[in-house]
Amino acid sequence: MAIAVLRAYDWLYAKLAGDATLAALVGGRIYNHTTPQGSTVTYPFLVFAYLGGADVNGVGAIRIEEQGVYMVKAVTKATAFTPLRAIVDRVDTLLQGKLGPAGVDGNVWGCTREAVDPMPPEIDNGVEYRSIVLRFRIWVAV
Amino acid sequence: MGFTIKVLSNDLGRLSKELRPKASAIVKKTAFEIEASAKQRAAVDTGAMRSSITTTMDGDLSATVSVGAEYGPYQEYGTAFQPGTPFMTPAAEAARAPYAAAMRKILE
Repeated sequence: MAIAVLRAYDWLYAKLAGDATLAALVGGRIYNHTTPQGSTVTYPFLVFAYLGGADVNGVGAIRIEEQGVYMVKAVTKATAFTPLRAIVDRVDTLLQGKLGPAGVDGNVWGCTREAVDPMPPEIDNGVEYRSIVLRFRIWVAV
Repeated sequence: MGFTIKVLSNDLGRLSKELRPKASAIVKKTAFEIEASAKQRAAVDTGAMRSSITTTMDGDLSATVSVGAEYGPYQEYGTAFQPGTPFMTPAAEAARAPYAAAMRKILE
């Protein structure tokens, strides 16, 4: 797979969407990069996205792996972070230190959390929203 | 059977003195490259966020590149309503390999 970073998306989604505990916490609302729009959005939800990364090359033109930083962001309508705690704890449990096949020809050989960023509160039309961002570094063999 | 090695002299002191300023220069160069790269990638409306990206040397071997604009995190990670347009992480990630290579080179 030339673009293994895309395999990490598949791996991430499979890890998150395949867990019954997390599905119950977010009602299956797990989005790839895009955030749901409109007045009928249901909270809480998760968004995952690629933030940046680079290839790791050996001598010559040998590509050893791709590594990237991904965020998993939990969002809810609340005035405190408390409702998000169980969600981010579960995401951490599902991803931290995990590895395995990613798609048909990729392989995640490492995933580790690098940071947790509770975001400043957002207020829209008098309604407060809270988000917590988890940053994970994922190594994908090609 | 035991044996003893007695070190009568070494160059570690001299090497340490020579390496530190070289490493410091690499840290400084990398930090300013990350700042420049982040500024290139930053979404621009008024330019306020772009101009709020700054580098601070925390010591001779440590530097921080930060965004002063309070909405910087929303640009990087998105809001509750919109996806983000990352500019800091890509800039830092692009500098990782050249930084490691430069550090290796001064040890050769």
